[in-house]
Amino acid sequence: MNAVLFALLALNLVVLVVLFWRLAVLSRLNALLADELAILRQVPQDQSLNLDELLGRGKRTVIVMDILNPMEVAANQSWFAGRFGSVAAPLIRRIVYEQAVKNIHREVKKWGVQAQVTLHRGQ
Amino acid sequence: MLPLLGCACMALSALAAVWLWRLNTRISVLAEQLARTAAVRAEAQLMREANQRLAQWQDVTETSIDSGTAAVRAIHRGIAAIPFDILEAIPATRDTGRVLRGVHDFTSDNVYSAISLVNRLAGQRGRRILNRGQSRDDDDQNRS
Repeated sequence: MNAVLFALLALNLVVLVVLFWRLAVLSRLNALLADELAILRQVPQDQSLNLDELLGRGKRTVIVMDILNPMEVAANQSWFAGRFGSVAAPLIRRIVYEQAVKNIHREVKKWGVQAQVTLHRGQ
Repeated sequence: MLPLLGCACMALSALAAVWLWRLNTRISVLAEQLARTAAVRAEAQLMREANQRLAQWQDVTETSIDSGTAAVRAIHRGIAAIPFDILEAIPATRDTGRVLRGVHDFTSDNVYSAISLVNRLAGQRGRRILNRGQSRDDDDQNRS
């Protein structure tokens, strides 16, 4: 009995060693990918919003939505925005955000959620 | 010996679980960043394509108006020349016909030149708006 237990534990140890080795490989690959992505994301528009800087840290919880493809959304909704949106991009973006706020407000009401949905332009 | 081995296995399993959880979190963050980068780049590409398309349209329109104006000018000249030729063929109206042709040609040349000039200026303005739109969009995205 002891021999069987010993063999099982030894096997478990071997499996754990293999698992650690695989985890180490994955960690290294993940770090490499993170470095590559960091280089790719040096373009300023790829930076995520710094919410700590924008909102500070505290106990209040809010949901933040950053629309990443406003022009694509506008182009899907309107022929004019698709063709001429690039000339008036800031205006189109503002309209998309305002429309998104209205839609979210309408949708969350359906779920019985009382929410104050506001638009804020950060840095 | 067995209890020691058992404890070692349990400790290593716990360590592996923690490592796996941390790695999973890091991969999730990375996936989120990758998705953002992909979306931002796709959006920028969409804008570039829209701008290029507008620039092409603007170019085609400008060229068409220019060619159209030149064609109308040539036809106009040809049609207008008929009565002036007739007037100039008659000795009594020859001098008046020449003066009239000169006045007509001068006026029509000025009108067609003005149309071409306005077309070129409108084209330049259009190109400037497109370029400004692109750079403003880049700036705006840089801020976001």
